[in-house]
Parts: sequence; C-alpha cells; structure tokens
Amino acid sequence: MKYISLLLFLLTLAKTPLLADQNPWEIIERSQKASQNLNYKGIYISQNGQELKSVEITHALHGSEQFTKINLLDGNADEVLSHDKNVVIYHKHDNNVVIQKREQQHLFPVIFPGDISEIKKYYLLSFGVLERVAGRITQRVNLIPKDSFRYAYSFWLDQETSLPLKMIISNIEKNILEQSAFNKIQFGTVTDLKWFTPTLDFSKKYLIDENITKEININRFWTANNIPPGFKEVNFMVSKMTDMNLVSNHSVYSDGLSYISLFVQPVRKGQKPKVGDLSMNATNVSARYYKGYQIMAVGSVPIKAVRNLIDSVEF
Amino acid sequence: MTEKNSSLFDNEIKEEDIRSLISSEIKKPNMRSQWFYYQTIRDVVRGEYSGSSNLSKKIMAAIDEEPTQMRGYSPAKELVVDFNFYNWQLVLGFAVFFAIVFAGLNSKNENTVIPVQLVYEEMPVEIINAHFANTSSTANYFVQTTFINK
Repeated sequence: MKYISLLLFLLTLAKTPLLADQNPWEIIERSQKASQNLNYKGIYISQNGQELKSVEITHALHGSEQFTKINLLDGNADEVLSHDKNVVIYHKHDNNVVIQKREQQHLFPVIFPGDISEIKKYYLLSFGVLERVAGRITQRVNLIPKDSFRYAYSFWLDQETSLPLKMIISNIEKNILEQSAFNKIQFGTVTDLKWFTPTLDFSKKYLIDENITKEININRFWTANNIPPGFKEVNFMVSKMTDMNLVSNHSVYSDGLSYISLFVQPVRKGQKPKVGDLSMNATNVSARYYKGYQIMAVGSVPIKAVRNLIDSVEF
Repeated sequence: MTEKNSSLFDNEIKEEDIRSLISSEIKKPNMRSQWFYYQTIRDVVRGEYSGSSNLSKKIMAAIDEEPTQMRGYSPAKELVVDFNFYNWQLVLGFAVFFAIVFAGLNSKNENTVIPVQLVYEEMPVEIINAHFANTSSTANYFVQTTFINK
C-alpha cells in the first residue's frame, strides 16, 4: 500500500506542469498575438498624470489584414483609422477636419512588439494574482526593469484570451505614472467591415497635413553615441519647422515598451535655446544647446536615460 | 479606373460620379490602403485642395519652400590659390584688416546666444506633440502635430 501511494504521488508530480519547465514569456507572446488576431470592441479609460480620457476601440482581423478604429470620446471627437501599417488620424475642429498620416504605433491594448527579445533582456517577468477587470478574470503580469533606464510595467491579461485589459506604468518608487484600463469589452461581435469608415461631415472642409516630410532626402549630420542599453532606433523623421525654411530631425528609440524621442533642430532667430531637465508625470525631458542647435530628448523613461542621450549627440 | 483618375485630377469628373467611384473602389482589397485619400477628392474637384491645381505652380512653390538643412553636406573642394610673391604686401594688408574686423565683430556677438533653463511653461509644444504622436501607447497619441492653419 505504501508503494502504491508513493507511485500515485510520483504520477501526480509527473502530470503537474512545473513552472520551471515552462517558458514564462509565452504569456507575453500569447498576449501579443491576441491583440492582433482577436476581434473585439470596447471602451477604455486612459490616464496620464491629471488627464483622463475615454477611448472606444474596434479591432478586427479580416483575412490577414488588421483593421482598427479608435474614437476619442472626451473633448475633440478625433478618430484614428488604421489598416495594417497605414494609420490616419482625423482631427476634428469647428470648421474643418485635419487628416494626418501617422506611423504605426503600439497603441493600447496592442502594446507588445512582434519580437520580444529585447524585453526579455531588459525586464524581469513576475506573475501576480488573478484579478477582475471589465467584468473578466485577468492574470496580473509584472515587467520589472533590470536597470534604471526604464519604468516598470504591469499588465492584466484576460485569462481566456490573453488580451491586455489593463496596463500601469510606474516608477522605481512604485508611483503610478500612466494607466489604461478597459471598463467594457466584447469579443467576437465584430463580423464585418461596415464600421471601418471615418465619420464624414461634408459641412466641414477636409485638409491633409503634409508637413511631416519623412521622405525628404537629407543626410543625418549628427550621431548619438550613448543610446540607453536595449534601445534601438525605430524611426527617423525630418520635418519642416513651423514658420521656418529649416528642418528638424526627430529620431525615435525603443526597447520594445518604452520610447524616447530625440530632436536635433536649429535654434530660431531671436529664440533662446533651452538647457536642463524637466519632469511632466511619466514624461521626462532633457535639453542641451550645442553649436547653434537645440538638442532635446523626450521620453516616458527616467531622466537619466534622456540626459545621457542628449549629452552624447555630436556633429 | 485610370481614365477616371486622370479626369479627376484634371478637374473634369462630375461631382455626382465621385460617390459611386469611391464606393466601387473601396470594396477592392488592394484599394483599401488608399482610403484616406478619398476624403480629399471632394476638395480636389471643388478646387479647394491646393495640391490639385496647376502643377508647375505647385512645383515652383515646392522648390521655394524646400526646407534647408544647415549641416550635413560634403565640404567643397579646397580652393587652390596661385600665390604671387609680389602681392604679399596687399595680402598682408587684407589680413590685418580682416583680423581687426573679426575681432570687433566677435567681441560684440560673444554673448548673443544665452541658453535659458528649461521650464514647463516654455516647453515647446511642437516637440511634446511630435513625441506623443509618434511614441504614445495611450490617448496622448491623439495630439495634433505641426499643422497650424486651423
């Protein structure tokens, strides 16, 4: 009898999946796929500092193509429509609608990039308890930075689908800097693409903002030699400065979750260049004046990351 | 479709034909990525969209407005001067003159650019907006960038 009990105990162990044998990062990979492959419609609240905004999102995978429509429910009735990598934002004003083409973004709940290898290198993954969000059971997952160049992220992933239903960004003191959370979400209700059209108002004039001239053929004349570890350049834009016949360079770096913008632009005549650091909730800014140029870095990262970056710009 | 497109940009198509043209084209999967241009078609036909009128005018305006980057170009070839030994007095005279002028200008402009401390009230809005528009994962993404002609 003693041997049978021992055998049963061993069999139970063999059937129970041990956490050490599993790849804990699979939950992030599942979540990334869920945010792209699922059809869902919901409303989430997004908070940045004192500012609170409600956003409605509809997402569908049609064949192999992704369609998303995002409507701002508070303030201006702005809209975003994205089809795969084409993203267009409609800014609605009293008399006109300004259309801007944008780069593809990782907008909540599509937070994770396709390749999470950099996230694995620079964040520690830990699991929290099960919690209820938007009426659904979620698994809390924490991504804690291994260094001081980035913030901590917490995600509440839907237990059934793995879609992120809530996200919190916090600093080393565990103060919440930014958060987004669904209060209502429905899966599988989006079946066609009739909803994928901008809300037209022919009483308004439609204008295209073509100021962002990414294709402009200008060589980069500067280098940044101390990019925070794990951050890679994901975008480089050249845009014409407002009211000036000069261009501004804008480079974007990311570690997969956090983003830093680096601006290199000539100082306008009569304008005083800025130097020093500034904190605005989760966003930190560091500025430097160098050889007639304003060097400025902005990012949802600790001040150390933006300061190191601007100090390393040379030309 | 090509012919209709051509007519459209020549301002020859009738406005009532536009809706049927759009609705037939938007159904084609390969045309869906172009859907954001449909909004401007009405303006193109009515001549309200500046990009549609006179092509040469548009090109000339584009050249005039071509932004300038102050750095980043290859240096010009070194200038070769055929130095005439007998003109050394003239050269010396010019050198002294330029040295005096340079020293005078330099002393006047030494402190013309004085950087100031970055403060919240003077944080350039276009920089913050450009950052959020290209990096934000939340509602900050909705900020409007660069366009000022409201």
